[in-house]
Amino acid sequence: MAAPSGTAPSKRQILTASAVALAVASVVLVTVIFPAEYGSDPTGIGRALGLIRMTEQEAAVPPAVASEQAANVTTKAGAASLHGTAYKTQTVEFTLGRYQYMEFKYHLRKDASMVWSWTASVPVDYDFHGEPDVGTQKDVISYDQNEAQQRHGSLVAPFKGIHGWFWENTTGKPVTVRVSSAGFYDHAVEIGSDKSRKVYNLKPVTAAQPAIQGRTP
Amino acid sequence: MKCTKILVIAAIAAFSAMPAIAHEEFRLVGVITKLEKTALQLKRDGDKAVNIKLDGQTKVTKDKRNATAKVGDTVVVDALGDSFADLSALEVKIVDAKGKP
Repeated sequence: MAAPSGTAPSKRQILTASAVALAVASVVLVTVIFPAEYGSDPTGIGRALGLIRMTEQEAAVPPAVASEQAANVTTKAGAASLHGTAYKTQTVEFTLGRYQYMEFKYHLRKDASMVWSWTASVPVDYDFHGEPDVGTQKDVISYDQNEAQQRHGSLVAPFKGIHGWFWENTTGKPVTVRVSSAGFYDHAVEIGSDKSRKVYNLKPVTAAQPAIQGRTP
Repeated sequence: MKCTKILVIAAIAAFSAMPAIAHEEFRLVGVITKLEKTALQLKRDGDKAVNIKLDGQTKVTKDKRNATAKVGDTVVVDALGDSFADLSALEVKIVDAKGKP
């Protein structure tokens, strides 16, 4: 009977294989996983591969709207902020199924502002928070979190990203939530608990809109 | 040849870690139609039934206390996965079918 041809790997071979495995895993982590999952791309390879995390709302914005948004630059003038385009307004109503949650957020550039009011048919759990365009979960800032049936407020965006609400229906019956807002936001995005996303491409208010008559000479 | 083998094994080891990082969290509400130790079947509101895996980390609660689920219970399931076809339950909350939990 012939002796077995294979022999157990030496300690050196095991250490070499482990070191190579660790090196390959590290490279994959930095060049693929960090850009795709966390938007962090220290090498630039993630962006070259198309992996750098764009927010889906940015990717979904049509070119015509994107160029309008590019003109919406914020300039500080003392206590005032000046913008390249007119502000936008929106009133939107959602129905949350029983025990379901959803998110609704506006995309704002740094220092852009908005005012808002929301009301719900019954008290809901909410979290008003902001999420930067590029970053990780630890960069998300929660501005206000509680249970309420209505909230009214204003925001000056501390960073470029999406700023808005998580609402959770904690009851066994559908709940309606209505949001009214005005601000220098670019667009809005609605995210369901099934991860479905809907982008609202909003238009600035225009001179064509009716106005009440003020002073005349 | 040995070098090639080492590199192939290392690459497999590295790529096999990626799916664990890619999961998203889903919420499903419905009635348990089948319940086993490692999986439950959930008939969702106005939708098809979905199979969800259970493991030792899955919490089953009612009114924020540990509980035991059974077929026919209305539950809220928070699960992790890549799609509805591949979900693992993080928590199964037993709720009132009609009113507040």
